Amino acid sequence: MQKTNKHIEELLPEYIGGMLSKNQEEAVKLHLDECASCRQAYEQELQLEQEFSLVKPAQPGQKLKKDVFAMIEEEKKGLNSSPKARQVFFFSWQAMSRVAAAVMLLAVGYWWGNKDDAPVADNNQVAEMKEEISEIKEMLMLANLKAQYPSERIQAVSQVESYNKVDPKLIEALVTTLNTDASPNVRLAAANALQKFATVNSTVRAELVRSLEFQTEPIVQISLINMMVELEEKSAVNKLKSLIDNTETLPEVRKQAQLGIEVLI
Amino acid sequence: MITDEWLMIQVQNDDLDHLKDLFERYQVRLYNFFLRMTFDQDVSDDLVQNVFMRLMKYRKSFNPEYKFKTWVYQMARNVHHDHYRKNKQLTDDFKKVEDVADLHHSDEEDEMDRERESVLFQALDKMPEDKRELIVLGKLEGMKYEEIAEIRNTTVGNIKVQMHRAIQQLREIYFNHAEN
Repeated sequence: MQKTNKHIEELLPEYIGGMLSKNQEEAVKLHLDECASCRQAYEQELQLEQEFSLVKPAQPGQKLKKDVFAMIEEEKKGLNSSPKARQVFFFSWQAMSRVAAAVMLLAVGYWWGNKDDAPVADNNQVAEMKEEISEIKEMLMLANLKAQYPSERIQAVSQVESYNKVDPKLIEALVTTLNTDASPNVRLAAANALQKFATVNSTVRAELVRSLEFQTEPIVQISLINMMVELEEKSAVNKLKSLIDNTETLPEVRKQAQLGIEVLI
Repeated sequence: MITDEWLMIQVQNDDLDHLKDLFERYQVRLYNFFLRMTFDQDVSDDLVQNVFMRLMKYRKSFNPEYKFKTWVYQMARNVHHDHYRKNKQLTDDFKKVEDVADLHHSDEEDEMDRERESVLFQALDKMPEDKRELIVLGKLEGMKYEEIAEIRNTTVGNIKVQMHRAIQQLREIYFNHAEN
């Protein structure tokens, strides 16, 4: 009997927290009826739980906030005084060396193209160079979207987002990221970036609608639903309906989808 | 819905104003964590600030595949361990604990609550650091076993066993104290 007593005492925190299975709960209940020492332990733990629940969180003073914010402002000053050093962090060293190689290639090409001609480049050549540079930039962004660490990939997404051209290749890469990236945070960033392009591009809107099929993470699902409402994308209604019908959809997501449908219809 | 992780990623990319948002979200929780571990308001202020200093300093090493909450509590634990190691020789007295219970009950109606809290905190104060931390996280900060397991880098099974032992010890201290 002693052995079983001990066993049940171990289950008390979970019993009180309602974390046991039905069968276990029954067994503990039966045992408590019979065993006085376990019952005492149970009653004491129950009282402790009550004591815990009475503890109110203390409020830190204003000084703490002031100090921490001052510390943050101090660090910001340091960042602003060395913007170049900061920029380097955005790219990996590997990417930087690729840029260096590309620049060198361009320089050599430029020299080669000009060696027999006049020393001043004409407008056509400048335009060509600009074109090549933006191609290299795009290549880099595409490569970074497949980087090893999620933080690098999120960085790449925001580079694409702030890029002032709507390039089909980049959009396609963002859509792939949205639908297949392993990290929900990266997928969320891709969704937000695509939303920006969606206002001017119906293909992007269609891709966002389609993506509802692939997303399983509640945060991403809810963000997409909200985007559909913001974009007034009526074609999303069917997808939202199947999201509601799917038994694996969380109740919160289902509720949001229902709200979305009501607004869109 | 803006997640903690999203905010931290912005901080990682040197948008430090978002660290202020994270501070607003976590200051009370972290302050109370330290307060229950040290029973000292000034020290708790310092330790919260220390956590945010580290968040800023090590922002590049945040991995968004993990929860921010786990990361920040791991950091808080380290900050507390460091403090504890440095101040081991200074550990003492009940009075401090009573002061802490005084903090947020000024009304006379709260007199009873204040006394009860004080008894609980005195019992907690007598526990070894490790077990006290478990109770603070699980019972006062309301964390799930899964979250505590992640923070302590162990299994949920282990946490269950450790929690049982911690509660057992607290029970012994608390009820002996009450009877005396």
